[in-house]
Amino acid sequence: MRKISLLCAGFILVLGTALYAQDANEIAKKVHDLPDGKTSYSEVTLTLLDKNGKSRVREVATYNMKDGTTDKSITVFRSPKDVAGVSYLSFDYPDNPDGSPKDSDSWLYLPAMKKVRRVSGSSKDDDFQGTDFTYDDIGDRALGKDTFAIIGDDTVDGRSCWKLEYTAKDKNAKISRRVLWIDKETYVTYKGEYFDKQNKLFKTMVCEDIREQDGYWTTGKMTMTTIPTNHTTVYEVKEIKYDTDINPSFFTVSALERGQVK
Amino acid sequence: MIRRNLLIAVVLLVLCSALFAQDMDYSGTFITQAGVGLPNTHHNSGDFLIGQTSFDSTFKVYSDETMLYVNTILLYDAIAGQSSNGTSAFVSGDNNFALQLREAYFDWRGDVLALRVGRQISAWGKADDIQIVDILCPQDEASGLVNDYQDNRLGIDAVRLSYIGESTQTDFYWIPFFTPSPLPLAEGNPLNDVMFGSYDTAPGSYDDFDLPDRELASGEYAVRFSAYMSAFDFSLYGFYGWDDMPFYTADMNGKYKRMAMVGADAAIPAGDFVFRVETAFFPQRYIQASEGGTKQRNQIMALGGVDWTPAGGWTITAQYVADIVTGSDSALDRHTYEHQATLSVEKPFLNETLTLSGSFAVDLRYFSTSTELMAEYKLTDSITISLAGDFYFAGPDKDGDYGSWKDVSCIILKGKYSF
Repeated sequence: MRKISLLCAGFILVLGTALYAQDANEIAKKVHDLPDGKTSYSEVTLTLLDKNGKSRVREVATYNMKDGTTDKSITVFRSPKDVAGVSYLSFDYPDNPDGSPKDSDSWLYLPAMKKVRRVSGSSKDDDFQGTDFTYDDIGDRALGKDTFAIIGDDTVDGRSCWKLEYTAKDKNAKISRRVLWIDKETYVTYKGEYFDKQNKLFKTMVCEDIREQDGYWTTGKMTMTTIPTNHTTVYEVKEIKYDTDINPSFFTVSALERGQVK
Repeated sequence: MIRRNLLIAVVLLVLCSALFAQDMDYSGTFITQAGVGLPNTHHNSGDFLIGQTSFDSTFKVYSDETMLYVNTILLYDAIAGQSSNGTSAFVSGDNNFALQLREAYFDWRGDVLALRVGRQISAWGKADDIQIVDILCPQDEASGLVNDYQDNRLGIDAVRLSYIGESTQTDFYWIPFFTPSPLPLAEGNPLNDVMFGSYDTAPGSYDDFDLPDRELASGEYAVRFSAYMSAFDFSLYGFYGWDDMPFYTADMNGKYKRMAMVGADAAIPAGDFVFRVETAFFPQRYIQASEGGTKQRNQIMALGGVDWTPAGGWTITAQYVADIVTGSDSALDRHTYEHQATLSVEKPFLNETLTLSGSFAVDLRYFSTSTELMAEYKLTDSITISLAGDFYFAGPDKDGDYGSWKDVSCIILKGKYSF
């Protein structure tokens, strides 16, 4: 009898773990696939604050369009002036059938060079223009780069959240583990903690001004702080439009090279 | 008189209203820099080899599918190193001041066609800082110490008609007026000695050059087809025009010669790498003969390169380029087979306020080298200070490609304000 009970308990534990893991994957997918319109346009200000309180500001405009399963985006830098006009075109694809991430197609236009350069679409772990955000933090990090687990529940700003753990499959990744607080009702991220390879807290993220606009959940402000350097970046959405009229020809290398996207 | 002033005022008012009704953008840079010859530069040791202040302004007006673009540079050169090529700059008689109209064009884009008319810059090819198919716009050979390869590219007066597909683009160019490369003709320019030091006499002005006639038949024509795909990008090129550099007779009279080129390039991304290849074929190109005059030979140039962007913000680029002309080299002012390799490394620090970079090139025949080490620091978002060292060394046996520059090795301090 005792043996049977032990077997049942073991079976329930395995089943429970499997179900919980499946839930984590589903939640991560829902977070990743949060609807953001067929097209969107946004203007964002990134304020960089060093440990002495000295600030620098970057302004970018972003155009997005869904073309079938491909997410097309253009990021245009407007300030500081020495990089104004630098534009980045990216085509992001769904993960491969085996679950591995598929590299983006990426092109960079540098006005000073007068030409568009094909750039690697795989390295998105690097810092975005000297900010505390990486390209992955700002865009949609491919699901295939991580494994997922629910490690608890918590309440943030009065919202009941899952603590969802993202563990990087790449053992050499600078950020090996991320814990995000995901709202159980809307699947919007409210908070994040990022851990380095030694599992030390490396960055923290706080999300504010979370609102529903035109039927889409929008985070108006994100503050990312790098703990070792005490350097902070505040990401603020100044303007955002969903399902707006954007010329599909913007999302071409030709438009980039002609300097027409501004 | 009052009526005339009133008329001018009304015209200005209408013009200003029209301009302000449109979307405008004004930006630019102010750069001041000084460079001093290193101890191993013989007669240039301790001399200022660079002393330049420039104001570079760009004005853009957007309206519907059109854009007006004007880029001018006002420049003061303390070492009097400015020289005109007769078309791209107004230079004062003492070679101190220059005003350049670098670009001035209007651009229109429809659904499948686009048109750009006026002085404009187009950069061809996938190579970094090496001229293979990038022959449409001339290089400013007088500013090689002050500017890098990109900044040395000059505008051409052209009509560019483009046919644009979803992932392709075909450009047709008609260039009615030939723009030659400016040469370091001013005696104050340290490159004068580099370019003409081995000759008994050096040309003094563009009056010594036999430029193509200003007539319809002297025009240049070019075409480029580019495709941008997930697996790779590639382009095909064709050009019929003039060589931007003159060929010298025995008594140093410069003559410009016709030139044709067909070329191709490709960029192939693979993980953290982007592989680049580029090639050009010049049928019966004029080559400078060692006794003066020219010889005609077929020439082929080819490049293989790789960009590597591992994590941490590193950018590492390596290239190998070969340059081959047919026939024997006994009558030519060059070898029939020349080749070189380049390596550059760049890494930002302190949230991209500090960037350290190094670039190295070696000619693989004589092993002469060029090395540039640079530190750039952003004092504010507007002000960048940089310190660079340009080092040129001759090969163990002969000067080689970079050895002729050994007397202009220098340390350069530069300040830039962007607005």
